[in-house]
Amino acid sequence: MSSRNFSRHRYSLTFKKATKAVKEALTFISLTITLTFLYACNDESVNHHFDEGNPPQLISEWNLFQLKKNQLTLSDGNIPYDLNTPLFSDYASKFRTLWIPKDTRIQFNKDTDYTFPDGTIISKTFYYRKAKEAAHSSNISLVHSTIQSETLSLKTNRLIETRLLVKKNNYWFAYPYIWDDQQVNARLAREGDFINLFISDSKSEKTFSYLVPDINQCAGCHAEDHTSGKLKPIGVKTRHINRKYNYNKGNFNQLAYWESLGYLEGYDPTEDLPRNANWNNFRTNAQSQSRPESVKVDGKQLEHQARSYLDINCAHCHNPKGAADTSGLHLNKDNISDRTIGICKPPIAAGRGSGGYTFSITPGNANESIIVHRVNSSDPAVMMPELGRVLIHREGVNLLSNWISALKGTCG
Amino acid sequence: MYKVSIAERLFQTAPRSSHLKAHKLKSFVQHPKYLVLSYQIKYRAALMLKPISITFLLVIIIAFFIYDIKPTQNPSIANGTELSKQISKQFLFAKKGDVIIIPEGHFEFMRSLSLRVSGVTVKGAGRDKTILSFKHQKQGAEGIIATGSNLIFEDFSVEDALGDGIKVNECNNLTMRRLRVEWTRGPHKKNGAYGLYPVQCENVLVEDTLVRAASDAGIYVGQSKNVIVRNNRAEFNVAGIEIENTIGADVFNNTAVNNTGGILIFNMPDLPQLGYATRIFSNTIKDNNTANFGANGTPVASIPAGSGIVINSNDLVEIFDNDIANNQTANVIISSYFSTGYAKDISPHQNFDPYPETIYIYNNRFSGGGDAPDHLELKALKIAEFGFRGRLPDILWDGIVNPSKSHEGLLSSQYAICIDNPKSGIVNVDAGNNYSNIRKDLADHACHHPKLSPITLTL
Repeated sequence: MSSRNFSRHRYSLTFKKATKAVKEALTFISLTITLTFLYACNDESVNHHFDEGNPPQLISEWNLFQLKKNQLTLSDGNIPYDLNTPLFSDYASKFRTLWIPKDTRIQFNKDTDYTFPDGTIISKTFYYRKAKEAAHSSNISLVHSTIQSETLSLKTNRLIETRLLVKKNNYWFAYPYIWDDQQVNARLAREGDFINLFISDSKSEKTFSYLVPDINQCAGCHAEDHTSGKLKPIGVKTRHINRKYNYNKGNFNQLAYWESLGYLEGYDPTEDLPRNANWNNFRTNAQSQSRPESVKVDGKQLEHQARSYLDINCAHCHNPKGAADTSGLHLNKDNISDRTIGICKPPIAAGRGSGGYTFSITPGNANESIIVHRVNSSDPAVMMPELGRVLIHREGVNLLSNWISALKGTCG
Repeated sequence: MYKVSIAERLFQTAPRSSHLKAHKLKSFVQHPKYLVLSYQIKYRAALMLKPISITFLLVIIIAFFIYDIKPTQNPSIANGTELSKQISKQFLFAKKGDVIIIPEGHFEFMRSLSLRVSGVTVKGAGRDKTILSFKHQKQGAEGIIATGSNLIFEDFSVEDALGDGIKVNECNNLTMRRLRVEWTRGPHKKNGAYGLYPVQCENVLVEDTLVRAASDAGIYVGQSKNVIVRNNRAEFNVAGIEIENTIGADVFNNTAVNNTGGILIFNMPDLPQLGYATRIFSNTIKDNNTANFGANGTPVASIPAGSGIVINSNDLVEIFDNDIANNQTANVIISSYFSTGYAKDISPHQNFDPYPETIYIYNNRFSGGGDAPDHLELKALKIAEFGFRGRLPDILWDGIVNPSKSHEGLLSSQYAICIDNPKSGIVNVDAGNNYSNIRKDLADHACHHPKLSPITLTL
């Protein structure tokens, strides 16, 4: 056998092996790359798996949102929603979303909490309109945004934080994420933070310290049953979400839309469902009025509006089981007892918060009502709500004053 | 051998001459030996790629794990702010069974420290060594706010909270000991309301604490059960110690001095729990003559300066073996809800009993006091009944009684105010009848009540 032939034979064998080896290697490399970039995968599916002892440090890890071309859009299945009357949070606008795992359902409830499946993610992104002459990204406008859609413009808005409520093993976990100045990602901040914001269009405050809550403060509101201490969503209740939303597909009632997506269990559209007052109705009225007497809202509507306002701003603590049950003041919408709503009710442990006034609500006299005094305060030892705001909500004070001034009757 | 090193092969076939033309390079590249070699190189490279990929993969996986592991907390001790943040985090991420040790030092906080876990102990290095200051507090109505069972707070102080010093809400088995809660500027209307504030708790022990300058009550126990408040010092508060709507409390061996009112036992309406059964004994209650700096409209703001012990709308109160002296309005005041000045609504509330009943005062050592009462009507009363240089008696009672439990203004024996105290006096001002029948006769109160049982805690 010539050495040359022998070599050729060996060459072809080597060639085959080489090719095979190369192929194997390439498969391996591609696998590696795929696995390596799993975290940063660019598909649109929400990631709801997390370790509650060590939650994701960045909001992007949840893949709830897609950020591109100066816009924030929602990943597949992440649907937006809004409330009839929202909680006042220093005039911040809020972009709320709900996501549930495929083939799961939410147990609907007419009056109280829904039961959500494990894996539910509820998000709330706090943002402000950027000031027109924004020297810095922290220059914001206090003009409250009421635009509804499935997209959030990053050109005109400054994102502050996104708060998540995620359900795992039948427990809710709360995670606050603070958006960076570049508006690219948000970082987990369980100890909370203070963010200095500069207001361009306020006549009074020019700057304020926006508070990002720490996780215990999350519980301060979200543990509506103070004894159990368990976190729960507050806004997703029938009376708050029974309203329309301007989806990409059209303007639909939110409950009907969720039902059409197959999200709800036990939803009966023919039932007379509770519905809190739409805040925009009052706000537009209030902003165009300068004197309480000229508010063109009838008594019943005014009461509905005021009770709706108290419901969403106060009732998470001021309910018979909440953190403020020591006060005996129950501001949940379904409370029908005048006394525990506060009419002619003396304070218990309000301390300085009472402002020297005798009753929570003095009918016909808003200026001598403790509720108005406290809502109209920004002193941390006096103000109500105690948590969740730094600024005074002028329109809210206005509403409550109008309502109380119109109440009949006297105390004692 | 067939297996020759690649390098050798390379060097063997590589042209030595540097002036090779392109075609020679081309032919070189197409030379079978070179081809073999290139395949060999590729093959070997390919062979190496597999372990390289594996290694790469492993490195990535390991990196993720390392990245995901929580870094051990090693704060730089140099900076006080760092430590404050560290302390905040310890509260925030506390787990059952944790002992949060706060070292000696002065720590500033911008927001409340909150605890929502049971089974936690917070321990400082001593109440004059570990100081938590909330002077620059931006948010939160308390210094420390906690909820949970089996909690212990000891050996540190809380200064200048915007609101209450330490509030513990809904707890079973709470111990607060060797603490100091103070508003360092002294009595001021804008000080926080309560120094130590357990509310809706069961099995509570407050001992060896010092509370100063609270604008409501230094130690306030509300809507709780089974409480011991002992060996504390309360001074320069509006109310030194207050027990409100609480069932079963022993308040003893405390010193309440220089407050507006020394020790208060109150019941307020519209609350889920009404209180009764309190023993106040072996306390020193003196010189509680500080002007009232409580917030307008609060119940405590109605207390006249110079009150030793004040009982309001509460039943089954036993007062004995105390040293009560020099409280310029009265050493003991007993009143109903109607005398509070904040009860504009006198309609009967469900379950609320506005009358103080079954009060037993015995074997106390009274001296001085009553000589410069606060409130215009009490001044007038003193002058009218006891003269310019006189003094109001040790015990002052508004005399408003439940008609169904009394006869001609005198309470039936089981509800009576019984006084068995040598060298004391009483004035019943008959406030319910426009002060028309003022009585000062101790004989009205010569009775006894069965003694209350001591509180035993099951901490």
